[in-house]
Amino acid sequence: MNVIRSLNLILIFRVILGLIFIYASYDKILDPAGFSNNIHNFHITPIAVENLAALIIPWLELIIGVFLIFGLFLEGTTSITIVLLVFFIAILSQAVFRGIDVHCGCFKSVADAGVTDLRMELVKRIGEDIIYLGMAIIIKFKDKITQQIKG
Amino acid sequence: MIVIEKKQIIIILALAVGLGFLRSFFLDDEEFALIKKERVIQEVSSFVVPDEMTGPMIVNLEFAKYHFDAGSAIFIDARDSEDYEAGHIRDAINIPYDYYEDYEDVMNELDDTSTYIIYCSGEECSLSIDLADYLYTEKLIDMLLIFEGGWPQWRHAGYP
Repeated sequence: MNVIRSLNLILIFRVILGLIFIYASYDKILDPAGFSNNIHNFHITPIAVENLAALIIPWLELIIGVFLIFGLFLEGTTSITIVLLVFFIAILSQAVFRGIDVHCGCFKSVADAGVTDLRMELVKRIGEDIIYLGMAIIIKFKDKITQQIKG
Repeated sequence: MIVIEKKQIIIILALAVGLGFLRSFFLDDEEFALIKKERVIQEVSSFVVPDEMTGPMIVNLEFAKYHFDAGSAIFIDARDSEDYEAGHIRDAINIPYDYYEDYEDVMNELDDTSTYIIYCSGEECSLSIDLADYLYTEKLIDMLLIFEGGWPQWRHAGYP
């Protein structure tokens, strides 16, 4: 625990997550129409809200990215981070299980070429998001985790 | 503690919504509306290609097969090259929409007097519509038809 404390693991996790969220938001803020098409390709939202989501989600990512790095509103920020990551994991997982080609937004049979790579790409991204989720949970519940380790 | 957290969440969400709306005012894209509407593309009702087209139109399997047999249309596959290699409509040209910048030479060779039938992976796939829009607006090609059923429907029908 001392090692974790001396390395200031929580701060490192916050900075890593913050930078990832800021990086993720950049392109989407610049091109909401493109992001709206990406949302459409996942087949999870009504068409009417796709543009709204494409406008709001990137700013939410940017805000929580900045807030995580600077330690602002940490309780609220980490809660939103956890919810967002769970949401991302859920939509990526449903794309894998339903066999959606998120490039074109179409459903493909398992036998089609290119799908294996695409699925692997999605699975990789789900894996990354699970790691980020772990970091966010540790930031959120650091006090409880510390108490448990001590106790 | 929970009250503070709730307040923080509301402030963060309000900030994101506010900035999102603010961003929408600075968008150059005139077609980008806050509430997105489903696009309706007109469908060709006979086997004849309309003389004057105001945009790409939808065609069905029978139409596509009729013009395939007659050799009166050129087929364009808008899917990735991997998908194209795995199977495509015979003699179709491959212009993957996701990488269209790499296919400028192919697109520049398309002539605006021919009829083109563009397809991808079926009705859920938007690549054919996206490519048709690009060719219509950027390459000024008029006779663009979208075969919505795409490769899955063609293959299922046992066509070459």
